Amino acid sequence: MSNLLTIQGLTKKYGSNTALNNINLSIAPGHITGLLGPNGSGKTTLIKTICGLLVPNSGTISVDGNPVGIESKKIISYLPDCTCLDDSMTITAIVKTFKYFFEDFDTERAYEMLSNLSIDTKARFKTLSKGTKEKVQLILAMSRRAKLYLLDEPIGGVDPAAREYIINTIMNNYDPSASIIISTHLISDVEQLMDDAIFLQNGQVKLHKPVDDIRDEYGKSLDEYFREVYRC
Amino acid sequence: MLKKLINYELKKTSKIMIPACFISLIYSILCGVQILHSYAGYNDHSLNDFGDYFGETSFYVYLPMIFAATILLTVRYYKSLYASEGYFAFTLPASISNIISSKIIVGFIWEIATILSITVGLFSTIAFNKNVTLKDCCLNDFVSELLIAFVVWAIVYYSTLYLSVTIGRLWSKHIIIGTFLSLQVMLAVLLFGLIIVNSILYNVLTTTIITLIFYSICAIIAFFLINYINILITKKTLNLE
Repeated sequence: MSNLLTIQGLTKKYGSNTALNNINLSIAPGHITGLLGPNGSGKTTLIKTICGLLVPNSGTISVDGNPVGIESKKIISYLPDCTCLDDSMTITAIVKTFKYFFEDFDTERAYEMLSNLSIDTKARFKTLSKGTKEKVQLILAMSRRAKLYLLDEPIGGVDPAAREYIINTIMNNYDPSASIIISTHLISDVEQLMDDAIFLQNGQVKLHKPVDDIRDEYGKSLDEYFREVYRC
Repeated sequence: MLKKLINYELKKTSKIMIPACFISLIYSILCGVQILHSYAGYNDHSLNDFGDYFGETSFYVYLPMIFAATILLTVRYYKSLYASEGYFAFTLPASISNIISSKIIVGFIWEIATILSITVGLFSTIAFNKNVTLKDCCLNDFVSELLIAFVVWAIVYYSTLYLSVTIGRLWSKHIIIGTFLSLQVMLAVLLFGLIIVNSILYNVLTTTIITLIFYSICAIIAFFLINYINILITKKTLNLE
């Protein structure tokens, strides 16, 4: 089976600071991969570079055989770690905008999830709480029938009660042939989702293994192993 | 996708720009009425007076309106591309060329709409003036030169501004200063180029029509060149932090 995402020799520098250093990765279709690492390890930089929001200094990225561009953006659904929507718009208007631009956007699915979380679709985005804004953005990202979902801290600002719903939302709303990359610090909450884990440190891939292998090999949960590896 | 992006951008900016154009239309009609009122009893010099008044009201009506529209559209350009909303814009299934071109085209449309609303407002008052005809007015050197300047300026106006924002954001901690300085440099280059062309072709550009066509061609070339540079810089340096 050909890889959905292939990264070769990817390097990204901010001035003299190297955020990503010669990253080589491949993700097969149908996998949920955790992108893990301490602050400043390069998780967000890697996701943004795959999305085309950052221009790499060197290296190549291939998404389903396409370089970063129109074709790759058609099949990537991205959830940023910040609010990226025009906050003067109502939720309904935002949903319409997504439907207008993304052919794979499922409006019914979006409204169903918004309803389940009791989010007022007539409300303006700027009037929502930080957690609700994150929920809306996650719903929008998961309402696309994409091949690759890139979720940057999807549950970072969400209360524990809503996390379970969001995790179920992620699990229930992606095509089994699609892949998901989740960047998070809250490993224990999403550990049960993950097939693979990528550990980043100082812009380099320290480990890329199936989660089951990590558990078998080290006799620890992913969360425990993460704490051991990155202990201060 | 370009068509979709243009429609979206037009819709997003129309809430500000349609009222702005409407206000400029009304205000320019009122200025025109004021001009007519001032004509009373000065029939001998009415045409020259019209040229003077046209220039004066353009200065007072056009510039503040353009300034306000400029600020609003430039801030929107920055916010929607290089601030947090850029995360949405640059993950759309569209090329960077299309995304930037849509903004420039919409800026150009609004620039033309603003100029038209003021010009139509001012010229509409001619219909009520027995002393000045539209033809007389268009033949008036000052008025015709002003119209040429409007058309030429409209073509390159937002392109120049948007390129200065694109360059200015490269100074991540001094975006406003960077934008202002790059705008000044570009305006100086454009003006210098215009002065040189004008001095070389002084004997050729004898009629209003020839001058209008010539400067329009120059402006269109500048338009494409500026936009090409803008797209190139964005492609090479897009770093949404």
